[in-house]
Amino acid sequence: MRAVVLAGGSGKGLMPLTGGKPKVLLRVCGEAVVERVLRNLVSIGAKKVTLITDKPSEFEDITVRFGRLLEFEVRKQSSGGIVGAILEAKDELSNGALLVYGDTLVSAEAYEMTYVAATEYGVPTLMVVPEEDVRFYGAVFVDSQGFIKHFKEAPRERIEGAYAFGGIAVLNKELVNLIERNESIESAINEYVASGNAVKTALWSDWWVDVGYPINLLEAVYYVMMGWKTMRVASSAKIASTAVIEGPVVIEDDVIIDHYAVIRGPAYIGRGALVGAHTFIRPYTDVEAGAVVSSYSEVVWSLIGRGATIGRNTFLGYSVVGDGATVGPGTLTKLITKPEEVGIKAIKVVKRRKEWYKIGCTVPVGSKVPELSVLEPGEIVKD
Amino acid sequence: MACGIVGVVAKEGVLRKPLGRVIRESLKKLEYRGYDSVGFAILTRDGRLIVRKSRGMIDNVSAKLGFDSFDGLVGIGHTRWATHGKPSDVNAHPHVDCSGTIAVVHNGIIENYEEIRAELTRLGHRFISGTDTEVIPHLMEEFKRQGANPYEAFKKTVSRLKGAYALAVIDVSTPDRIYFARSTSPLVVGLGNGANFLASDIPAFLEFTRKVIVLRDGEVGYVTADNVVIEYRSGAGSSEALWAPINLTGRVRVVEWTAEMAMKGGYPHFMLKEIHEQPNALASTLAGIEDQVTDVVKALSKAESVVIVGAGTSFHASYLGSLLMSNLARKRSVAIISSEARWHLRSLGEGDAVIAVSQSGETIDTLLAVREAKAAGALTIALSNVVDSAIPRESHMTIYTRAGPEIGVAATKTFTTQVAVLSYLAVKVAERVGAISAREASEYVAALRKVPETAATIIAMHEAKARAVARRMAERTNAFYLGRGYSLPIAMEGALKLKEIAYVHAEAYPAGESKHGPIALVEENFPVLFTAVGRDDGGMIRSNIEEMKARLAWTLAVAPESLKEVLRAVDVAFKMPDLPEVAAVVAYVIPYQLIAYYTAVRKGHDPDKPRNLAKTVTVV
Repeated sequence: MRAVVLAGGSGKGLMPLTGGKPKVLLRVCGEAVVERVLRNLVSIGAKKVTLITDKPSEFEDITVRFGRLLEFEVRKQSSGGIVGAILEAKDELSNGALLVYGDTLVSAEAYEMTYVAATEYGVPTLMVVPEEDVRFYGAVFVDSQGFIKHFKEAPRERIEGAYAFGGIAVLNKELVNLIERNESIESAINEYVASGNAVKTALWSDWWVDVGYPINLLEAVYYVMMGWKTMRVASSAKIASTAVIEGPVVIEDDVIIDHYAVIRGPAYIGRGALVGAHTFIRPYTDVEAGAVVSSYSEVVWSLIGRGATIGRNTFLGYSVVGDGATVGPGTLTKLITKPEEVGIKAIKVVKRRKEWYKIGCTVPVGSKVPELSVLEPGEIVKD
Repeated sequence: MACGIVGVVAKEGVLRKPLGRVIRESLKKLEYRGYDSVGFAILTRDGRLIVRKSRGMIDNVSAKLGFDSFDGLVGIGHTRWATHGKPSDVNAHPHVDCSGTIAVVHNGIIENYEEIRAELTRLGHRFISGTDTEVIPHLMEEFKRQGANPYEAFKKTVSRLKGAYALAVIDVSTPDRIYFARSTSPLVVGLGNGANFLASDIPAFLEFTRKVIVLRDGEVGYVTADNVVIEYRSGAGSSEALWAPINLTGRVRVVEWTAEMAMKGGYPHFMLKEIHEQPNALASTLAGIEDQVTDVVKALSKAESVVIVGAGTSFHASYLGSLLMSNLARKRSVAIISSEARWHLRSLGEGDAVIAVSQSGETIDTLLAVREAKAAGALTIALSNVVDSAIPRESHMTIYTRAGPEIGVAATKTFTTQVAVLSYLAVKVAERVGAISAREASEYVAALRKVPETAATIIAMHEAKARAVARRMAERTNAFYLGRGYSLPIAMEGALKLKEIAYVHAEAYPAGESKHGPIALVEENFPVLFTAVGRDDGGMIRSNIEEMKARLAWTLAVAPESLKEVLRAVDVAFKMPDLPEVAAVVAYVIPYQLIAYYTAVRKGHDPDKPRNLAKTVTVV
């Protein structure tokens, strides 16, 4: 099979973390989002992948690595948006290549399910997911036979009875031509369906993350780690004799874990990262390569970007720290919030038989948080 | 539902086993599409056309007719799932023309067959079956008689057909090929080495090749052992000039997935597929229901009592059936779990009726109950999803649900179709014995006829909510499902689903009884799911909800929209359409099926293959 991966866009919601670079290059547990997508494609037998991006130079590294596994082509997108990207791959998509949004994380089975359904039925197919709030995705109305009745891109209001478009599809020549003519996926699909053609849906039921906001990165960390069953420690890692490591933890090469540190998995410590003395790393924490978590700190369910530094005595929870950022010593993140009241997305946690909504802060790439800061839930730190 | 067709054409020595066996094995892979009759046609090496067909399941029929012993180089096969009309030997495919030289297998419906049949009858053709398919070989024969060569005759035949069809046709005069056509019904070509294949679905020939061409609507052609010709009708009418050959470059796909993935048709699990198939399954079941139940309704109306037996999910359907019989039809009725039945059935005698409910028709406990009931002199009626299975064979009368094959171990569409049939029966018996007026009866029947549509709406409206609920349910270890009256069996079915696939201990209890014990277990965050089918449940269920909320339980409800006070009182409300009870009992279980399914997925379990369970229990 052949596939087209849309890897353009730096993502408005993720701008503080991407600094204008493609958002699909954001790393989760040591691997860029798009690499996970590509690995999935390899695992289901993709022979050729065409990657569409507005910044081809950013993908050189990935091209080299995946070029050994499959026929890999990077094309520069000449016009903007998803429609522009689709038209850039018009040839492939007209011939039934699998279309994958590079910012969508899901297991390889979902790709396979969609591709198989498209082949089985011989018609264009969209993967859909039952999401309660479809506003951030597309709303797909499905009939009782699993065919699309109507499609609505980015609806403004909550819609009941619609499924979210899951960012995986198989198109055909007619549909691609309609997208080109109408310059819109929504009106192309609706016109195609209205003129009596069938578009099938493939319904995905397991986890699925569309990486659009920092909170989605935390979700991605959770789901990736959920699949871990064993501990893996690189032989070159230096682990102090008094450190405690439990649960499924991945520790990469040249990591240093200092005395009395506690790492409770699932957790990821990237190549060359340092975890200081007496520091407590709690579940679902992802410390990327070269990052430093200084002594006496506590980190829970957070993503600490490459080369970032967390000063000593810091409490960091449900937060995302951009690459190269510095969080000054003694900083506290406040977590508990009422999402409906403040209008932010948060993570629902059930602890001691009570339900809490928690979210920490976002620290932009390369920025500095002054020492002894108190950061509010949902805050995007200004440099 | 659907049928499955296959076609095989091979060079000498390529298949390495008798053609009859290849066809049998291919049909077996399509068994999920249907299995109430089966047949094949083979052209032998000396040019004879052999047709063997019978009602029954593939394994039984092929053993009976000795499929494996027939050999040749060209053959077609068919596995049928009757939706209208009876499965029978004569209605089974393939069908042949008057001279017995053209054989056809067909999946779909020919809408204009009556017109063609009348025309051909006038021209002297003799028809022996009641199927729409039989017009195809005769029409082709007729065009050949008028001077067309076989392929032209086939194309002219296809041009005359209106409706949905996937066809595979062999003709003694062209023994190297199989003609095919597709319109709406699925058909794929498999390209092997020295052998080519046709099938309704890819799994049929995955053993031989992974190279496929998915045919598109309106395509017609033929396969030989080393070639494929596909043409497309570029205009209306039957003139030869309108057919244009298709360029096959770019059409060939290499399939890398497993047969199982292909059969799931766009769903990650069979169970989810089957939950989504409920609107169709209900529509098929209700479509032919009148004819099926006429005699049963007469018999039940005369019966002194109606005992309904079933095991597992079928028991919950039985329980609903008995409540409807008692309350709607004022007929003394009780539901009994099959394995317990013998302690209850001995008091029965002539004048009593026993309905045995079993999806597979093979459930051993239910079968033993049927024997017990017969021995006691009672009338036995089977309600099954599988034609000619053991329980229908041993019962006096039979009603079939037309849910189509169910592969997921947890019963979903077979439950709702069973309940639909029992509900329909209760309405009809109630009308006949005068417990309800003819007007009421027709209102109820109308509500039941709308259930397929209602089911589709319920799935679409509540799937996302069920998935969200499952995230939290996956962290719980216990749950209560409470309901009164008609709601209780639905609660029991909901609890069973959660137990069997999500491995969450769930207990169903009459809501009024919850104070007498179970409530002692309720603590903060304990899930309690309330079901309310009827409007009258409101007041009482409401006080049960308050009791649970006072203990900080996590409360959920499946209730009609008009029960606003119930829906408002709970933490999570599944707002159901207002329906008469006869229809609500069919549809209200759907949110519970979805909750169980998504909880299993969230916990990382395979809902299709729950541990320790088998689809059909044939040992006591």
